[in-house]
Amino acid sequence: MKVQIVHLEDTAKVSFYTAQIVNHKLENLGHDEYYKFQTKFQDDKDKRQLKEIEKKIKLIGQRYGANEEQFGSEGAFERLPSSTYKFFDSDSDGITDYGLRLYCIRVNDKAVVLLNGGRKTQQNPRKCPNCKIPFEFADKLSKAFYDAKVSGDIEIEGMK
Amino acid sequence: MKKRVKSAGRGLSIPEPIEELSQAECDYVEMSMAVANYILNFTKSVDFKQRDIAEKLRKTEPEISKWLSGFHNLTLNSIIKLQSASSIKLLNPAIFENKKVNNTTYEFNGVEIPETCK
Repeated sequence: MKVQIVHLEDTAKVSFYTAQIVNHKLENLGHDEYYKFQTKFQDDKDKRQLKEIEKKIKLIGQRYGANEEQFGSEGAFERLPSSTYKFFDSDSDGITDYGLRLYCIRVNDKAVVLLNGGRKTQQNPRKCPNCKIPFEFADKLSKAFYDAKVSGDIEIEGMK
Repeated sequence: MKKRVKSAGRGLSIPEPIEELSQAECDYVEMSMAVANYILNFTKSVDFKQRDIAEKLRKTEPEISKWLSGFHNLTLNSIIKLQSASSIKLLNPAIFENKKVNNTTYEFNGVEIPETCK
């Protein structure tokens, strides 16, 4: 499986990217990862929380920048929202429902790679049926991304 | 050879968006981020001494740190205590003062209230 980092949008303070799975000819296989996140939810509660995350991304891009406090840490990558954020009308009990998670790679204050996610229903995301695959994808991608950055194989405008 | 990043061919929004946030939801997201950002800047300022605040409130530093990171969930009581122990100012009683507009209405924080409802 090959993955390309593709450019989404430049906002006032942040450039946003996402990941696209491609074949050996570098042709797109399906939609990009962030599009998959934006279009996967059918439940009203999921859709509302999705909208809140999208609103936060907009504010990060237009007003606050991608400083690390805006994100929750997952080790080599990050998530939105941060652990201190409570969704509006939240009934997350912290045992069977932790709310929506969007996994991403915060490169620096000015560049973020938005990936995929889901509704977290287990404390350990690797055991959550909704988050396991996007979590592991983000984990592998972030490690490969930073290896490529260090070795100079990847250079993205706006990224240091 | 280094290659430039290609475009996804779309921006942050999807072409067929679902319904937008209600005004209350929108205001909630904006306010929570604004408060969190204010607190963050305060904790990075030279005036901030977490240890002093903890001593004044008879709490531990980790408790104060937890308070500040979840500020949008605090009660009025806790906010007032934090204000009294530091230079942080989030609530000002003056914004809640009634201002009489005319003989039949009062202005409350910018919203007119008929005399009969006061």
